[in-house]
Amino acid sequence: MRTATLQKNDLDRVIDLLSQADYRVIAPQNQPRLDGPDSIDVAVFKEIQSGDSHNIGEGLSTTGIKPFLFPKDEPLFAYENRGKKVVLTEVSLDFPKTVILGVRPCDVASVSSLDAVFSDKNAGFNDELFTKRLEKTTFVSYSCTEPDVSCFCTSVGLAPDSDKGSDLHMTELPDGTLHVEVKTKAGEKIAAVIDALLSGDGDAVARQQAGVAAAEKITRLRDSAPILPWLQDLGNFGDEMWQRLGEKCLGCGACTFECPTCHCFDIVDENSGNKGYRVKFWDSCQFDHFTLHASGHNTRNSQFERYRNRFNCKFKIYEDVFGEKGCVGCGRCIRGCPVNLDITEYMAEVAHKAAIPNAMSADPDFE
Amino acid sequence: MIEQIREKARELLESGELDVVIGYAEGSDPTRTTPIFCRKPEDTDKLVLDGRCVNTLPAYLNKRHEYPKKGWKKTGIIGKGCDIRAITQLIAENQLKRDEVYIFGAECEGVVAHPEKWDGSLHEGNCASKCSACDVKIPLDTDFYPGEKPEVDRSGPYMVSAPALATLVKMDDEDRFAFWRDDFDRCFKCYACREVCPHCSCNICITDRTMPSWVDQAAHTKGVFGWHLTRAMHLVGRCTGCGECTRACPVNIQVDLFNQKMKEVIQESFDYKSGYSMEVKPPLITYNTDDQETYIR
Amino acid sequence: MSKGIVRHDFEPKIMGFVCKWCTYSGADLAGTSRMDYSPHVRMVRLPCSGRIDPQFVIKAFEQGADGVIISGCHPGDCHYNEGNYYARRRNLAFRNLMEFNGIDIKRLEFSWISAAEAIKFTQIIDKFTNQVRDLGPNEGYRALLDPYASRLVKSSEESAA
Repeated sequence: MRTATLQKNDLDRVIDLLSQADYRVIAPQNQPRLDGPDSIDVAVFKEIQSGDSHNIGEGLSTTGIKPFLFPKDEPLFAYENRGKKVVLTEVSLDFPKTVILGVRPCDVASVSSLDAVFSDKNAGFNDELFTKRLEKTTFVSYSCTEPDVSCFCTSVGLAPDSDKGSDLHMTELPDGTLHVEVKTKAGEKIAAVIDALLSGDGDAVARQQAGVAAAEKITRLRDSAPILPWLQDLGNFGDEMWQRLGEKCLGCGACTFECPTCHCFDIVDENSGNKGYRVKFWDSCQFDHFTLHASGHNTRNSQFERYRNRFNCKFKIYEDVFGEKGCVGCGRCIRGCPVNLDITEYMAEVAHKAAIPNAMSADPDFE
Repeated sequence: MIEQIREKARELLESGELDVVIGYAEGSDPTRTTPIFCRKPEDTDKLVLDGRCVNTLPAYLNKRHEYPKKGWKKTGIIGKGCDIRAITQLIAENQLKRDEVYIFGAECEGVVAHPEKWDGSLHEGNCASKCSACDVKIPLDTDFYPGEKPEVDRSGPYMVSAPALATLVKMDDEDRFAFWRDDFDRCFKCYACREVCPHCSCNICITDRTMPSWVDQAAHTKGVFGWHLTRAMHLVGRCTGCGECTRACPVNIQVDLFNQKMKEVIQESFDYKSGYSMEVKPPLITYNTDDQETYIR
Repeated sequence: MSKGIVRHDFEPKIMGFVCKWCTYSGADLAGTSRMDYSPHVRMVRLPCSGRIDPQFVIKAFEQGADGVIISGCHPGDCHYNEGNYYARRRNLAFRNLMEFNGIDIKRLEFSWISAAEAIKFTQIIDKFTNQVRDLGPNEGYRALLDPYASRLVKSSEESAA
């Protein structure tokens, strides 16, 4: 498909043109900061208007694009109790035509992981709230050139310049221009809108080199190949490492809510008088009541078991059920963890254990 | 300093007096440290103590985190001054007994506001604002302190440390509401603020209860307001100001501003500073017959 | 005592959380004495002002109240000896918290009304109602009241019962 060159300072014009073409444009934006040393820079994806400042291409946003496909809270329907009658009101499935700009390769790769859960490809149920949004959404991805210390996408089969799941992919070249690659039909539509800003055929060689150079900057390198067979050996479920590494976990949901592929949700009725909403909202396997049964029994009764579940979900359950990895290596769970619980430490530990035959050991100090 | 603590910790673990020593070890990045549970004497070699040690370790002593406590009879804990104030407050609230913990204290020069600001040293630009008004850099109550502990005058009133608070207080009510509404838009209710807090010690948090549902569980703005107000109210007169709630927030909502504001109110109204005494009751579980009632008609 | 009927553009919704031993009995006395007072307050009877959890007030605002009134026995009169002393401390803190949150503190009223003070009861209710009416709707919270109204489509008259 088509390749071209775009000037980086034309990104504002891209936003203008897409807005004029009736797209809802989403881009990463820095959030206002309070005075004082305690505040840090936070960038989130938000709807952008012409002229707003954005930070496309500057670091990885604090939270990903998940909220635009799977919002942190949304109604399933509204109900109202009128005497003996219950009146239900459905929610609209008519979502705006959206383009998300400046998505990092890890984030855009995560879309297929979410799709595996919510579409009827594997699960046998089509969650229209997700799939209808996805149909209307176009992803314009943007290669990383400066991966940070927590990035580990190369350890899970991706790369800083990966275009998996992307509709239109941009790579920043050392000369400051952007190499644009159209990947899909939806991407072609975007390219047609911004056609006036595109020139030439781009520089495929420089783009390749930029990708290689970025990949070399990644310092967190783990071997994920031995993880699946090791996890599939159920004898390792009781290994001492789970508790040793996981007992410091405090049980917040920061890792799961920042994670681009975590998709668990809960449903409650939010009642107000005789009416209310049935609401679907994010839930986290790290919460103590996530597996709490009505009987009072909790199948994952301690925190290390909950993190073990998270690791298994990413590297085993996803592969067993959907045939792909549940982790895209964005590193947000590492940056966001209050106690520096590090998923790559688990990866390293597993690789280490897998390399030593019969290394499974129950630590006598535990239990 | 840390050498002496390591040595003492090793000695107490070897003699069996302590089952575990909770401290800080090098994290997975050079900018970070991570909590460590030393169960074997040799684990104590991993202990570190410097400006990167942001975590408030007494969070592991409260009831919510009952699991690692299984089998601990006596816990050693390495604390900065503010952590030890949190322990003192837990004892004042009967959440902990003094003889269940063995406190290793050390002089603290302050900690970094957020690990991502660590550039090899601690300086004005990256030191947490809570450290600027700290009077427990020499910790209050310790079982082990390397060297001689100097006397410090701590009679002064509570000082608000966050510069942002002054800006917020000056705003109109409407602007302040709008400020929080916009900030809370980012909140997705991961409850990191709750989990890192040494004083959030309920076994089942009110937000996790659905019958009745006092706080909306979904993270729409109404529910987020409900949660942060509830959290702040439950910490009135109890918060010891470690600022971990703000530091742990993945989307940088400065929720400790609520706590700081309330500490100021409590100081002015009831002359109470949390975390300085194991005997004085927290202000909201006691009363004086001549308490201020200017607001009452 | 009768007041002429005056129409206003805005009639506030006010929640009242009151102690049953004093304020609620005071309200009873006002009623049985045929005293006139604003009908805007929806009153919830609780055993003691010490039972009034700030959570109730937060919930009231979340459910669309424009003002909340809390009332109990005078200090020293508590049926349970000390409940109102705790309430006094708690509400002092809570008012400051709500103010810091950006709620106009004039929307939150705290008063001591004994079982004999029917006149004080009517005066406080009238005064507070006027005060909240002058402030107008609690816009901040009202905007949050129905988070998903814009997401709904058609109402299907399906019944299930």
